[in-house]
Amino acid sequence: MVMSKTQEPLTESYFYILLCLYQGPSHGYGIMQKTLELSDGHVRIGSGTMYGATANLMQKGWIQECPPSGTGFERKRMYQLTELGRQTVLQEIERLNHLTRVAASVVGGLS
Amino acid sequence: MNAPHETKIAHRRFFRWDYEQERRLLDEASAQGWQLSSRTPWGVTYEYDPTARYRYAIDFRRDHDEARYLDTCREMGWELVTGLGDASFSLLGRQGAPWNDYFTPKSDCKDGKWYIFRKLYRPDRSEDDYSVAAPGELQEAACQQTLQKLRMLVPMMIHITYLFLFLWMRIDEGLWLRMFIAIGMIAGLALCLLLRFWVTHILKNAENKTLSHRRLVFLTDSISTIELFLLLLELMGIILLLFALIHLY
Repeated sequence: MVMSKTQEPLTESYFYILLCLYQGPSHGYGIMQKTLELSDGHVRIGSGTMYGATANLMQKGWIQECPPSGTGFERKRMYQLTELGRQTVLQEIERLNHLTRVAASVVGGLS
Repeated sequence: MNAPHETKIAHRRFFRWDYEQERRLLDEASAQGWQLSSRTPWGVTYEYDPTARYRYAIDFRRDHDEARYLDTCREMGWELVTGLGDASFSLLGRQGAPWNDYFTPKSDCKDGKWYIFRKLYRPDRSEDDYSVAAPGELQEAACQQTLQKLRMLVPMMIHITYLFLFLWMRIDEGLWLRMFIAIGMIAGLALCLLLRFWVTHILKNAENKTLSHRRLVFLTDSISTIELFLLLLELMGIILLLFALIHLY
């Protein structure tokens, strides 16, 4: 795996957004629903937060907008992961795995 | 009994950092059948419609892509009631007019804008469904904007007052009066410069995230107090001047 330069840990909502888009393009509402489902109802991303997060992630070049789905009032803006975003999320998973391994070696087997 | 489509105008004012209080009031009004139809710097208009009940959200954004922001909110079930340019200091004349521009969204909002959204109330919905953003983000943005406006407003008020006095003064007016105005202008200028540097410093700290929201709010309040103090001083100066003039003639 190509490692991009070291980065700060992702916040929970950023991580979930990237994770949701890993499976394929989605829209804001879809990401919110999926995040809620994946986090067992613990992480709920409001629309303002979603706007801010997607703006930041696009600026970082981790996600990008793709052609919208639907027309008129039903039109939804779609987002997809970029190659850089893919690497970032894999790198973050690696970091988290490392953390749990370290924690297990200190505390003992975790259920 | 209120007839449907009856409207009323309320004049209660809220400071920008009291947006949470304002939101609660809108929620309560909606539960009683009064639905927000517009909010301008001069008042809040409600329309009577007991068939619906909404929950409201107030958000503030600046330097944002408005079209994408409004799309994101709409996709997540929020209906825009009103978008309002920052008009609390409408004396400055920029973006003072209220408007509802849902159908003509602009992508460039450098000065920042307040938005009021609504969502139909459903008892089975989680309370978190009625929140647009984390409270801290909004608070910080609002405070930063206030600070930036203060940076412009305070110097303007001080200087306009003294300039006015200076121009109004007769050519053969006494020496002490000239001294008073001159010292007042110099002191005012020094205070304004100090304030300007201080605010810049606070904003820089806030951007670096070294300052907590609570501290920022405290500082904002302190600066407002200082501003009030300055204005009181100015007022005292003007009263003294008036007394002196009456005494002279």
